[in-house]
Amino acid sequence: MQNVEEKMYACWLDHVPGLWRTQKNALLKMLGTPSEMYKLSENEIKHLLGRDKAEIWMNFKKENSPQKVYEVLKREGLSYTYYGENEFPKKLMEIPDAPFSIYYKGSLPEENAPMVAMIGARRYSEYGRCMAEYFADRLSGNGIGIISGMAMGIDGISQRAALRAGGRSYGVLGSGADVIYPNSNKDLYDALCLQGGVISESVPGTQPIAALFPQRNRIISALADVVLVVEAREKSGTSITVDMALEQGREVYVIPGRCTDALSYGCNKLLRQGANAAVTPEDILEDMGWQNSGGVKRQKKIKLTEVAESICKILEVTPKTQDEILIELRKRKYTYLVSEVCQGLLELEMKGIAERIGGQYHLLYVV
Amino acid sequence: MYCKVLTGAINGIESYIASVEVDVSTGLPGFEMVGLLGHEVREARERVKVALKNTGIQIPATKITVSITPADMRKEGAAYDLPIAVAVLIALGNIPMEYVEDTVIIGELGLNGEIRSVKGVLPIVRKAKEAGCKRCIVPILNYAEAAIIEEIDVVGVASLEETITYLTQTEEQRMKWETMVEKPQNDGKQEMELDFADLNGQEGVRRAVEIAAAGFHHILMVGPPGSGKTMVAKRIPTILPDLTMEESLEVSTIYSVAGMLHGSGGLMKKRPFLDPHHTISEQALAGGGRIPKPGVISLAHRGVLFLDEMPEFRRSALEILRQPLEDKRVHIARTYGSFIYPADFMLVAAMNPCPCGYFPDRNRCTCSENEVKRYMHKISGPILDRIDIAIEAPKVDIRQLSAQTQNESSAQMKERVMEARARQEVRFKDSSYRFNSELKGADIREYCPLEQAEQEFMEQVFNRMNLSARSYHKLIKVARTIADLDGADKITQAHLGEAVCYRMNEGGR
Repeated sequence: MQNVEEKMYACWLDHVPGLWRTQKNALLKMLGTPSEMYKLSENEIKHLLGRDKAEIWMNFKKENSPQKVYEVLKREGLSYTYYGENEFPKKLMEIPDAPFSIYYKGSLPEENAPMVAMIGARRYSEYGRCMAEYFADRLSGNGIGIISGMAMGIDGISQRAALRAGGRSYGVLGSGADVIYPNSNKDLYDALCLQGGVISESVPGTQPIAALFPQRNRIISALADVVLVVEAREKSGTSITVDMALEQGREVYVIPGRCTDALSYGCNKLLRQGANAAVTPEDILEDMGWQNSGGVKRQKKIKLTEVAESICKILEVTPKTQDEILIELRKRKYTYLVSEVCQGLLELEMKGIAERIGGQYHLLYVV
Repeated sequence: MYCKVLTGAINGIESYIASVEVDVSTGLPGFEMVGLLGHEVREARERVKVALKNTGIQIPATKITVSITPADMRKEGAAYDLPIAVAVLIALGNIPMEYVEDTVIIGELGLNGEIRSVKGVLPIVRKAKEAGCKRCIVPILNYAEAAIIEEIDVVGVASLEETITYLTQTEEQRMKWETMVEKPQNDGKQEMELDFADLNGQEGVRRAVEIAAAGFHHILMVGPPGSGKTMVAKRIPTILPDLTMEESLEVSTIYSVAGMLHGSGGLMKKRPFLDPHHTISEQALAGGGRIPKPGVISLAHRGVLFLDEMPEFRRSALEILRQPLEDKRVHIARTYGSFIYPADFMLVAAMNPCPCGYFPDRNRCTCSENEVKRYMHKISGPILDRIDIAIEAPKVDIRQLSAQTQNESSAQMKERVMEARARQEVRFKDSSYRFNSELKGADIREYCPLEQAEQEFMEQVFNRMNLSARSYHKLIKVARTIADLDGADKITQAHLGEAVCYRMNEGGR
């Protein structure tokens, strides 16, 4: 029971407005337990934090009891842990600017479970989408947890794919753990609560503001063993996360892209700077010494018709629309009728080799 | 003295025969008009009086009463001028009454006595023929459209004086009377003929358009700016089957009611092509006004309605298309009654894939995922549901543009379309259907039966592509048209396979 009470005090302390994380951490270090911190007298606080903060502190203490604050939390279905507590993720304690508290729904990552953070741009290309889904699927298929920011774009895609594969996934939010942002990810939020967790450092109810996101990124990288960059423009928030990951001593993997793709520019630059290349998910598994249950599945050679074969060759380079495929075929002196090409495309789709997205046909893998 | 002259009027697109009664009696001099008259009809009094004076006829100081019947129908327009004038002349004894028996008279008068064109002459003359009238006197400018109707004597007149001359002749002289009409001048130098031969490349789009034309399917073209969507759309009428006489009359009637039939030599022989600007209002699209004029969708009846940059249209305006796309007609209710205009058009829509136009080329497209989605969602599902064929128009290579290639001409494409059309005619000879695209519900199964193997194939495709039930019927209809183009009686896997390629991107992606 002692434990819960300490939680209550820590949670209460976290709700005191105007306190910095460093101050809270320092107080905790000095006094040992949150209950001791709650018991501080006005004079002691004045001495430690100055007159203004002492006044806020005492006012807050008058109006809000730890029980009340903790009740609200429970009502929202949130769990709480603070720095140094048993539940508090060890990986987060290692980092220099460790959070004071963690609010979460669902569960926290298990201590020794291997974790990969997948990060990337909110705006993504089809290549990025395919890769994110592929990597997330294979990694979680091998029991690796996927951590990301539950944001639009690559974050959400990776996490959805991980959940689909039946793996665990954790979303680290910039807002309070009870605030769903973006709203379109409501389904993902609910799924994460069941099949992983939603984690935040901020007090519940905190609205998503831009300044909070870089801070949240440090938790993403801290919770992971490997940070995998899927797609990044030259300048993006992704580079901040990568910097933090390096500071925290996490491995950085990058999915290479084409030199001309604006969305792969950041990735390729990271590679140039010495990041690890992740050409297949198995690369990561092997390097990290995580066992690879599936083994590298080589697609069996599928028998295709002549048309489908020639379309495949064209799609190998870049995704194309039906008419662009026709143009390419003509350039190569093929005389297939439009209807025949349609057949070929359908064949590829039916066999799961190509996919049509936004009118463009994408090759899912090289045959 | 009392007299009665027949005239015609339009109510929406329907026409009816009305009569103008005039009584001249002694009493306080005056000119009274009754019969639920609109403003323009009331003003006829002044026009008739002055026109008669300027034609050299003095109206004596008597009490003239004009009544236009049926009295419970609201009268609009200036076409009553001439019949009123003639009726007054008869009542005054200038023309014998028997000379206007079974004669329908319409026309607007100028103050100098000239006769101006009016709207809706074609349907009125047709109604006159149905009502058993023998003769129609119409403004000379409307003669061409009136002369389309056979088995009724149509006379075009240019002035009130000429009308009087004509009416006061003997019956023999009248038989010999020939309306002097100037032949339309523009016959020699037609406007630049559009042809698919001008279009380089774009094979996929060509094929899709050909299928759409053969089955009168609505089609949506998606592509970046400058991919030739407009160019393709403008050429669609050149490969559509020619208008049949009956269709031609329908179209001409609408144009006649809208007062847009001048200079076309009477009958509308070409399929109309309408490309309204995206700022168009709902009223202009569906038909509007106190007494609604036919809107753009009705003017596109039996032809092509091209909506370029479809998401830029007002949502409310697009929603109006729902009913016409389903029922092939538009129903407009106003204070003065409700009107039904035909609106059986082929919808050709073009749009960019996203606000900037370059999606999914991520090197150029700067739109976020949400922006792309929102752009697609500007067109509501029910509208997209009614579009059978969707095709991506790719950006055109500069080399392709400048290449001197031999392209297939509209004539060649039309030939195939006509063959497919002929097959459809045979298929639908016992039903009211004309095109595959019109098929509904259970009739799809009747007219487009699938064999076991094809049925299984469709099931596979459906599971794989995650298609909705709605797409199923669209797909089969399109496959039927493809089979028709192919000259095949049975729908095969190949036809279905191609139809699948023209499906709408589900979920806007």
